Amino acid sequence: MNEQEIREVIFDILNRRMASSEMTAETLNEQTSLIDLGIIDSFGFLELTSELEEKTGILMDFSDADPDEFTSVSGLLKLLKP
Amino acid sequence: MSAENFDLKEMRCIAGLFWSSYRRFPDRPALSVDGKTLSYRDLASMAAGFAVTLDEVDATQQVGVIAYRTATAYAGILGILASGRTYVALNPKFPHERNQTIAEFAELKHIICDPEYLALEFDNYKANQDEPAFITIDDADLKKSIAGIPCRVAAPIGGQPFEMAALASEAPAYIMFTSGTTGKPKGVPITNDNVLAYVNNVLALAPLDEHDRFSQTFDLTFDLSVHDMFVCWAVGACLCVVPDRAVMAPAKFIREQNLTVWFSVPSTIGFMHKLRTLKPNSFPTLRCSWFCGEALPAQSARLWCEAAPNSFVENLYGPTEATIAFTNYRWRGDELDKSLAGGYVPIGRPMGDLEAVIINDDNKLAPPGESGELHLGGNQLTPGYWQEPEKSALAFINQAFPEKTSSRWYRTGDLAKQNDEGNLEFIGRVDSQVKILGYRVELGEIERVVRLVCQSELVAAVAWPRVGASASGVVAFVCGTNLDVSTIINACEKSLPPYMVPKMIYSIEQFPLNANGKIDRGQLEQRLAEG
Repeated sequence: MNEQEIREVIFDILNRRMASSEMTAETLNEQTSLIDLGIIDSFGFLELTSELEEKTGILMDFSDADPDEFTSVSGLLKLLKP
Repeated sequence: MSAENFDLKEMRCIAGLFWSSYRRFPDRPALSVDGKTLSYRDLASMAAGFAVTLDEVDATQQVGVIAYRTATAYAGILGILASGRTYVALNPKFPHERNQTIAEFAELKHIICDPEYLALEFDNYKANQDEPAFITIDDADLKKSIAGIPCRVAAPIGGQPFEMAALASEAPAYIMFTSGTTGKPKGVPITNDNVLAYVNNVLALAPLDEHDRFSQTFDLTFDLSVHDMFVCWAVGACLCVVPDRAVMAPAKFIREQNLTVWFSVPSTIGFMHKLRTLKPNSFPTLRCSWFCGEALPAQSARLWCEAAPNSFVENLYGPTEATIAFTNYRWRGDELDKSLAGGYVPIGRPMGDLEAVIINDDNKLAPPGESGELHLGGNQLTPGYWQEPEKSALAFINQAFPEKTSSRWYRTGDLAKQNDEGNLEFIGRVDSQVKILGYRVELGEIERVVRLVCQSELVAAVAWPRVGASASGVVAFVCGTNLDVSTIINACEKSLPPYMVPKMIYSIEQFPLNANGKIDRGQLEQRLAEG
C-alpha cells in the first residue's frame, strides 16, 4: 500500500464515523487532532487504530509518538509509513 | 519519614506542606507545566500574590478556581489555602451550567481564572445578579489578552515577606463536588486536618524525597489531584503536569520527564497496552506506581510491573468522603488469579491507624469471607456534606464495634469482603447488586468473566430487561473485541450459572463516561431503553 492508498483507508474509516456530520474526512485539516475536532474520543481512537492496522496490515509503534501528533491524519500517516 | 520533613502537630494548613519545602529547597523545581518549570521560589511568589489579593478584596471563605493544567491553577490553589480559605475547583471542560450550579451552591464570590478562559467565563456569568468577581494573572506570554475585562490581577510578590494565615485546622481545605448522574451534585468538605492525616499515611508507604518527579494526571475536580499536589510538595519534589492529550497515552511523557512517581486511574494501563506502549522496561525511572479511582485488574498490575520493573505497584481505594484514599494493597506478583475476587487486585487494609468494618445484611459485623457494606472510620472522614444535614445523617453513623476505637463511620455503599490473608477485596457497589430472576447477582462477577473471554479491560454488564426492581436477564457491553457474540456467550456459559450469562453482547466503540472518566452505566441503560 502506498501513502495515497493508506490515506484513502483513513478517510474511509473517518467518513463512516462522521456520517452524521456535515464534514467529510477529505476536507479536514490533516494537522489537527481528531480528538480536538470532536470526531473521536480516546476510546474511539483505540477503535480507529485497530481498524487501521487491520486494513493496512501495518503495526503502528506509539512508544515514542506524541499524542499531539498521532491523533491527527498526518500523524497517523507518519506512523503508517509503508 | 514525615517527622524529618515536617512536624504535623505544628502544621495547621496544607499549604504549609508546600511552604516548609520552599524554605528547605527554594531553588528546586516545584512545578513543570505547559513547557515551563517553576521553582519553589517562583511558585511561592505567585501563590502569595493570590493570597494577598484575596485579602485585599476581602474574599469570603470559599474561593473558586477555574484553570486547567496551568501555573495559575496550582498557584491559585496554594494562594487560596495560604490565605486560610477553602478552594472549590471548577472545570473548564464541564458544561457551564454544571460549573455555575457548583459556584452558586458553594456561594463563590471570587473565582481565580486562567487568562485563557477569562473572556468566556466573564460572559457566562455576566447575566447573573451576583456574578462572582474574577482574579487572574498578567503574563507576557499570554495567548489571549485580558484587556477590557473587569478583573483583578494578582501579581507575584517577588522578594516581599509573606506569612501564611493562621487558621483553625478544622477549616475545610477544599470542597469537592461529586458527580451525581442526576440532580444537584453533593459537596464534600475536606478539612486541612483530614488532608494532613492522609499525607502522613501515604508518606509511610514509600521513601519519597526532593529528587522525585511526580505525575499529575487527575483533573482538579477529582480529589485524587490533591494527592498529586500535596504528597509531592510535602517532600519537596517536582509536580509534572501531564498535558491533557497525553493523559490517556503518556508513555513518551513519562520518559521525557523522567518521572519517578506515577498515579492514575487503572484504565490508563489498558489504554497504553492497546497502543502497545507498555513494553517491558518502558519506564525504568519509575519507582512508585499508584492506581486509584476504579478497580485494578490483576492483568493490568502485571503489565505495569513489566513496563516499570523498578517500581512497586500499589492499589489505593477510598471515597471522596474519606479523603482521597483510605486503604492500600502492594502488588506482590505471585497472587493467583483464582484467589482474587473478580480478577481484581485487593484493596488491602486501612492505612495508618484508620479503621474499616464490613457490615452484613443483618446489620452485624461480617466474618472473614462474607461480603457486606464497607464502613470507614478515623481522622480522614469529612465532617459531613456541604449544607445537607439530612444526607449526612444517612451516610454517617455513630456506632461502637469491638476492638475498634472509631465511633463515627462512613457508609461507603461499596460491597467488600475480607480474604484469607486479611486483605479487603472490593466486590462492587451495594446498588450494583441486582436481582435477576430472583437470584442476587453481582454484576462485577459477570464483567470479570466477559473480560477474561474477550481479553478486553473495557466491559460493563447491565441487568436487562428490568422488571420492577428486579430484572429478567443481563446484557454486556464490550469495547475492543473481535469475537462474535455466540463465541462470547458460549464461553460465559462455561463459568456462569444460566441466569448470569449475558443474553446479548453489544460491541461498543466507546463507552459513555461520567465527569470523572468512569463508565456511565445510567447512559448504557438509557441506550437499551431507547432500543
